[in-house]
Amino acid sequence: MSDPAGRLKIQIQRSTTGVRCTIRSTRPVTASSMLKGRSSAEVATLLPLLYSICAKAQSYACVGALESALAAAPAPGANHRRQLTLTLETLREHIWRMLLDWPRLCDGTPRREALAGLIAQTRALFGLADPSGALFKPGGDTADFDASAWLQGCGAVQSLVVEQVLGRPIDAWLAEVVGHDSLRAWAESTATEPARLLRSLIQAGESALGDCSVTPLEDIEHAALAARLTAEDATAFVAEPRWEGAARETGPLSRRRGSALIRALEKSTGKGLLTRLSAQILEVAQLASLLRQPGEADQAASSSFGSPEPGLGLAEVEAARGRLVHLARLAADRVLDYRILAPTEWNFHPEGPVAMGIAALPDDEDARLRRRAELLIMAIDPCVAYDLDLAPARKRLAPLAEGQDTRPSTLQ
Amino acid sequence: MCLAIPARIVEIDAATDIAQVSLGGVRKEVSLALVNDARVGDYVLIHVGYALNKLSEEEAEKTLALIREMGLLEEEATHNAATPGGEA
Repeated sequence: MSDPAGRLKIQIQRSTTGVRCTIRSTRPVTASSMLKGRSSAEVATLLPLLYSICAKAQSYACVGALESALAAAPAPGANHRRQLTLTLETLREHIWRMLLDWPRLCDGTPRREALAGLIAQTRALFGLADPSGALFKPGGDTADFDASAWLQGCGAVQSLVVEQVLGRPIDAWLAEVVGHDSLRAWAESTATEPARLLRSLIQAGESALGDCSVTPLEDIEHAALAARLTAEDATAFVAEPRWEGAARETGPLSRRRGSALIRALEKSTGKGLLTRLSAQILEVAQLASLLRQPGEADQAASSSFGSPEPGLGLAEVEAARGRLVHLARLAADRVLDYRILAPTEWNFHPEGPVAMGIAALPDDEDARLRRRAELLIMAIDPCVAYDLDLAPARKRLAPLAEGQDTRPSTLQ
Repeated sequence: MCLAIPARIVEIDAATDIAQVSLGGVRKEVSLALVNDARVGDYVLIHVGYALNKLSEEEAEKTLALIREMGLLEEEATHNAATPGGEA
C-alpha cells in the first residue's frame, strides 16, 4: 500500500478497428466517510490537511457545504475573499503544469525556479488573505488584511504570467488572441514554454488529435445532485459518475467554451489537444487579469451553495481541474454523511474525455502513440500519478517479438 | 480529491536535488526542486514525485493519523510502531 493517494491505470490496446483505451482507478473516492461523527469545525480543519493539493478548492467546498447544512451565513465579504484565494490556487495549478510538465513533451526546459517562486508567492498571499486562519471555518472571518502587500503579491503573480506564459501584457494577449490564426501567430512569435508546446503541435499537424464528443457537465439542480449523492449506490456514482446516462467532462475547456477563442478553435479543430491546452492558457490570462480587479467575479468559475433540505448542504466550486462537489449532512452539529465528487472521476471515467480522446488517436508506432496519449492526459490533467500501458502493436502480437517493449511508463 | 502524503526526508543528494523519503516505511525518491531549505529529518508533503512544502512534525503526524484512520496506511502504521523513526 505504498501509494495511498491511488493511481490511474490507463491501458491502450490496438485492434483492427483502431485504438482502444481502458481506465481503472485506485483513487480512494470514499475516504471522506471518515469525517462522519465529527463536528463541523473539526471537519473544516481536517479536510484541507488531507486534500492538500487543491486545499483552497477543497476548503471552500467544505465550508460551503457545512454552512449550507447549518443554515449559517458566512461573514460579509468572506465568500469573496475565499473565491479570490481559489482563483490564485487555480492559477498556481495551471502554471505548475505549464512550467513543469508541458516542456517535457516538447523538448522544452522545465522552469523549476520560476515555479518555486510562484509557489512561495501564492503561499504568502494565502496567508495575507486569511490572517486569522478562520476564513475557511464555518462563519468565516474577514479580519483586516494588508491590502498593499496583497496588491504587490498579485502584481508579482501577474508579472510571472506575462514573463513565463503569455510573453506579453495580459490585456494585450486577451485582446489579440481571439481565434485560430491569432493563436498561431502568438505561438510562432513567443518564446515561453506554453507557446513552444502549441507551436510544436501546430507544426506537427497534431492540433486536432484527441477530439471527442463527450459533453460538458452542465449546471445541475442542487436537489437532483444531492439525491444522486445520497442514493444507495452513491459510492459507485462518485467512483464513475454519469449524468443522465452519459459520461461528462469538466474543467477549463468546459468553463471557457463560451469565449471567442475557444468557440473558434472548437470550430476549426474540435475539442482536441490545441483547444484543450489553449483553454488553460486563456483561463490563466483571464484569472490573472481579474486579480487586478478584485471586485469582478469570473462567471465561468463561480461557486454555488445550497441546502435542498434541512440539515443537508451542497457546495459546487470550480477547482483547477473542474467542478468539485461536497455534500454534508449534519444533525446537532455532527456529520452524519459526507460525500466528495471530484473532477478527476468525470474526466478519467472509462467513457470520459481521456478514454474517448485516446481511442480517437490514429494507430501509430509505439513511441508516437504513447507521446500523444501523454499529451492528452496532460491536457486534461489527472492530479494523481498514472501508469500508461501500451499493449503491443497488433502485427507483433503472435509470436511475441523478442525484446519488444511492453513496459508501462510510470509517472510518479 | 487529491491526497498529498507527508513523508520524512531520510537522505538528500545535493547534486541532483533529489531526496529519499520514508513513506510509512517505504522509501521513495522525490525532487526537492520546489521547496527551500529542506533537510534530512524534515517532513514534506509529496505529490506526484515532488516535495511540495515542509510540514511541522505535529502537522505531519496529524495528517498521517487521518490517513491511517482512512485505512490507507494500515500496514505502515504497524511497521512504524515497531521501528520508530522509520528508516531514518
